[in-house]
Amino acid sequence: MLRKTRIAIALIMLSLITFYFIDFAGIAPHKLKLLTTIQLAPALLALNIGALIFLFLLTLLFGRVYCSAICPLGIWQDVLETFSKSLTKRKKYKYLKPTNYLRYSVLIGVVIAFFAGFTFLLSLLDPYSIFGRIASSLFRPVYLYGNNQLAGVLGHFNNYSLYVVEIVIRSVFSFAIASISLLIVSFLAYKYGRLYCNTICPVGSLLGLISKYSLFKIRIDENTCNSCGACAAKCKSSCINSKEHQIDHSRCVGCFNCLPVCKKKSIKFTYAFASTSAKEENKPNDSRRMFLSVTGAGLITVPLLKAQNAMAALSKNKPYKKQHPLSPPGSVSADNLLKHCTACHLCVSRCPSHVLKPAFTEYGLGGIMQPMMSFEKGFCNYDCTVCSHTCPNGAILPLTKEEKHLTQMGRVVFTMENCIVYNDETDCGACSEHCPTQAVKMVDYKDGLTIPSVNPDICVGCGGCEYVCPATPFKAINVEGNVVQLKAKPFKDENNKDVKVDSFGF
Amino acid sequence: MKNMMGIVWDRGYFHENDLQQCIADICSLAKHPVLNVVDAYRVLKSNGPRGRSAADVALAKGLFISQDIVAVDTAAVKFFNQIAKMPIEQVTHIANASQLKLGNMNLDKMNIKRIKL
Repeated sequence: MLRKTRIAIALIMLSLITFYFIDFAGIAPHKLKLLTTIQLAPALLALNIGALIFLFLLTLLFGRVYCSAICPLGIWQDVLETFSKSLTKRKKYKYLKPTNYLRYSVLIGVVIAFFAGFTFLLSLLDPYSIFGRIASSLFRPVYLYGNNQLAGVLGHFNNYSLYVVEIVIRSVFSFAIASISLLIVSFLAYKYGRLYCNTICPVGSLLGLISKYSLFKIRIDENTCNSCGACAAKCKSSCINSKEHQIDHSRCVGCFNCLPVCKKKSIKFTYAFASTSAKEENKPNDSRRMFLSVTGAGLITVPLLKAQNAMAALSKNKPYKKQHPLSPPGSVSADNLLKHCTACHLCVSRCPSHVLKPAFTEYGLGGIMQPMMSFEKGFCNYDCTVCSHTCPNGAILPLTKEEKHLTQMGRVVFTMENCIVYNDETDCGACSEHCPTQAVKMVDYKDGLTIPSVNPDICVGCGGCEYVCPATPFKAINVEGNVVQLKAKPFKDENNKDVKVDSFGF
Repeated sequence: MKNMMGIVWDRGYFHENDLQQCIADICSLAKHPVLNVVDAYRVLKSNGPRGRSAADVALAKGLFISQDIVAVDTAAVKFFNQIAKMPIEQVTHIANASQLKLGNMNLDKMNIKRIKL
């Protein structure tokens, strides 16, 4: 019963979150955001007290059921694990000793790296974000491809209820990371059950610290157990030591697979303090852990920082090189993004104009894969606030349409030497046509021609001008990112009296 | 005439290669509109084509209809020139189209019905 409930909740959870990520047609209700806000890493980073209390109590009551019913990556692993069982019959797990040094050093390493501004490590290992990237970079294109094929077939029968959408992969690096994560996690799940969750996953390790003390636990009744090992063979966390009737509760993910297999009914999910025979396991040595993780983080960070400086010195072949990337509207500053974003790419998935793109090293090494605005595929719609309302981490804070109109993500820079009007002496004005505030305005140039003139103070940095500028190979107009988003000055309406026209004029 | 840009996929190419000539050229397509209607009821007088606010709009209540795409644009520009300054000489795609004999810019020699309601 418990097991079936868990499976039902998990499947609903996985389908809804996946759908929330891959939906392009606006079918997924906005309320599904709730499923992402109760993920542990987003809740921690957004300091979402309600969600944190809920998760803490849930774990304190029932152990790591989070990992089996809420975490999308955990559920995904269970799907693969079930699949592997259907292929290899009589699949058996064995009890394994906990890898405490590894998992706690990863946890502490991630925390230290995060506070040192190297959020990338957390982004790379947080299960929700891993799943988000997989859904966004891999599942979504497949879904779109399926939609396009179906739309094509329906179109042959004069049915146009589906429409073809462009499939965009914004960052090869993030695509590669998503693919590699998917392969590794899926392989581990297929072969070894919940190995990732119990050796690497920082969220699992953190919850494991609480679940040791949870009120309800899986327990073995020593008096009736005959140590047949049936439960241990079913345990994908490899945490049941049937010989010694011990269960490592810090690794148990509360899947309840062990319960139905016990013929003696000796293994039960019960109130933990009913019996007193439980032995406390050895506590890991904190100082040694600390040492390990600090050295580890240092060993990774130092050479990476050096590489970054070298890269910055090399690349100077573009006429306009952005000093700073543009962070999404509502992200306050690149620093705020760094402190909150775990690169789940929900915003990247949901951005309707494909402006958001996972950064490479634009934000520095700590911010790899965090979203930035980039105008190859589109520009930021003046009235759109989708990304700001979709972020579960508090990395992009909600904006109203009016606030968005005055949020300056970057400032326009005009390079006259690249401009069509200057070079060819023909009309253009595409930039000004796209400018929502007329921060780019066409002014008289010569012989009736007009040329762009910029007023960065009223620019919001939407990138319409940069996107549309037809100058090749280098654009004549670009948007330079603001490290901290500013408030754009509101534009002033020209004091034009309403004109009365009474004659034809010809 | 400029409305014809709506059938162009890569408008960047137009902007890059003498926009005013491109607009005239696209009107030389064999399949062209039989009746051209310019709706000048609410006119965007500044900050076009996007506009920033309602202050950019004037209520002119005009309407121009002709089979001649060049003539109808000429009339519309001359009408607009009363609302915001835009001499016909500056809207060079009209002269370009006239040179391509796509229509007549000389309104004086045409039979025009001017109707006021």
